[in-house]
Amino acid sequence: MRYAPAILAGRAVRFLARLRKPGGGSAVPGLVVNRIAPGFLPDTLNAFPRGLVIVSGSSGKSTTTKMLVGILRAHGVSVFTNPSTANISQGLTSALLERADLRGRIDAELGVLEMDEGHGALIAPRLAPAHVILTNVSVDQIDRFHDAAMVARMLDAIAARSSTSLVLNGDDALIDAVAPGSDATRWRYGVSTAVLGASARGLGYSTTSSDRVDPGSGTVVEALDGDLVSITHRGETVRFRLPARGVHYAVDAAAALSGAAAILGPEFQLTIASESFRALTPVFGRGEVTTVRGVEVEFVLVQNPASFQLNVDSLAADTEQILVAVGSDVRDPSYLWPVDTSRLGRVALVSGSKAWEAALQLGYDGVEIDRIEPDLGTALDAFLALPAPSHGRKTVIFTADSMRRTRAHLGLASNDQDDA
Amino acid sequence: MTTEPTITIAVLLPSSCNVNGDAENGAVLARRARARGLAVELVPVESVAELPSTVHAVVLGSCDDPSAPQVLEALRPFRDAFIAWVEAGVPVLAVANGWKLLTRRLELVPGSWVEGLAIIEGDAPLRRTRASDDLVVVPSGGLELDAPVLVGYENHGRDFRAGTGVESIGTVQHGRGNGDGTEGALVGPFVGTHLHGPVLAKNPELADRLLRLAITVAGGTSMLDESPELHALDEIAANARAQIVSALA
Ligand SMILES: [Zn+2]
Repeated sequence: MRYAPAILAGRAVRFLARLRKPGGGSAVPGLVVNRIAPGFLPDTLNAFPRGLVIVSGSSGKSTTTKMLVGILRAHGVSVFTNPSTANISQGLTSALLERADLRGRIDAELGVLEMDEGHGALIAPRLAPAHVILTNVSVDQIDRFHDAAMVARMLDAIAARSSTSLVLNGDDALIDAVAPGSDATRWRYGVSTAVLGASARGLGYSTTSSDRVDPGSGTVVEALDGDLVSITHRGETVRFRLPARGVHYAVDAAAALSGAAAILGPEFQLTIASESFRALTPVFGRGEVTTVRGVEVEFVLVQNPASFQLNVDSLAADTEQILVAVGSDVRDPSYLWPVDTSRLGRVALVSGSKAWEAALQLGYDGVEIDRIEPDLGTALDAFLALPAPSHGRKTVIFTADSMRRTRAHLGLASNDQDDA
Repeated sequence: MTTEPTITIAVLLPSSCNVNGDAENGAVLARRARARGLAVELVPVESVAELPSTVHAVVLGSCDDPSAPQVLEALRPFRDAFIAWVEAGVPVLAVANGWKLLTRRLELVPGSWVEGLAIIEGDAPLRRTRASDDLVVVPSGGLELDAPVLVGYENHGRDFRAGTGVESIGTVQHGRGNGDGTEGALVGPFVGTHLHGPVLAKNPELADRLLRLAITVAGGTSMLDESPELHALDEIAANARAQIVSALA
């Protein structure tokens, strides 16, 4: 009963937080528990009978986690996972509180956790993961951590904790080189030469490996046509539909397949895995289409320049009504300037606390801007009130802070938790 | 009507020196020239061999710290070209590490100094902590700007101690700058600054100052006419500067 008082206190705060702000405030109860019982988080996470899986990296970890959990569940494994973006300690503790009994145990065979690299490196020494899956070190992390080498060191600290397997992006040289002294089995995934060649701007990695992953021993995205992907895993090929268009989703799928194979061992079946993708709905803000006030809206989350570019490039060509919102989570929008936004053509509204800086970039890229409205609530109301587009969907492209505010403003429930 | 010469803008080492979008200042200059009816050639230059025979403006962005030694070696072959540009009055914008690599010497890791290209007198000692904040600068008289302040963002690990003949581009109103209350380096047509990213888009007067110098060295006579599209962009920039400055108040 070590954790009972802390868990009860946390639940009470969670309840109060919900009353106060619908759909918000998920980090608050976690803060309370972390203070009352600091061992709760690592003890609970290390107690899953089939072990703990950590998914980390610069970008793609939410999608990879969601795909992996889908594959594992399709194989009949019971999984605890953190709602994506609830990946800071408090948010994670809050997520655990939802499921833990009063002894601090969670009724699931396996834990799959998405962790951001900075936070993951901080708590890694207290965690004992069986499997670690790493996505990439993207070029644009300098905004938060001033160089790629530092991100690589953080991921190295997480990888070094893995006892059984390391599932690594073979196309990302920094990821491929982590934890050289580890005894864990190394599983590699990546894209074919053809897929890399078709990505005019590369894959956004800090350092792209010169060699491609061998489809005979690893997991390789062989071809991609819209949302239809062909992936070869150890010589066996499957074709299936991704939850959204874009090469980054295909790479996430390869990571998830490779990770599931590492975790499940002989239980893993590639056809069960590929069929599990059919049941996936996109994560909020990653291409999710929602009906708001009777209008269909597609929400696209921009986490860094690489995802900004990929999202601009993979936007349906006939999209004519766009809102772009850049919030205070982007301390300095300078690092977005290498992104070529000209393909947006015309934007109905630019919003968020960095609206003017965002508009300046769009303007220099030759994008027509109908209106700049820094107040996001006002901008969203105006955007939704615009007459329905004659073709394409209303599309909102936003950063994490603007996503949170959008959800709060529109009262959207979602499978996501707050990104505190 | 006289025919204006084509303005050639060289952006140096854009593949490694665009960490904060600094290299995009080349495109900003190009856009501003084209809006005035000028013909522009915007040339990315990864090695001396790729340098156009004549250059009328140069942009060198910042690289990240781990790649600084390689970038320094990649820049060395440009030394003679830099000297010729500064002597001929070709405007050069160099940002953060891109600028620091052009000084006499810089401290790469604590206690370990390397020779820079020695285009700009002065040296660049490591700071104890990284400077990462909004940067607001009152421009020096030497820049001849009407704007009360230059506004942007800085993110760098080294100060700058100016040597003989090097003026600053202004005094720091908010932020760290060179570390001694001044910001940047001004030597004839050369501007070095910690204001990173789209400094010329955010501060269009500075952009037009560089553009006027470029037109002069190209032998043009354009007075940089009013342009409705630039008027709209500069309005947005004024709001962006005001947003940053008011958030600091
Ligand atoms: Zn974190």
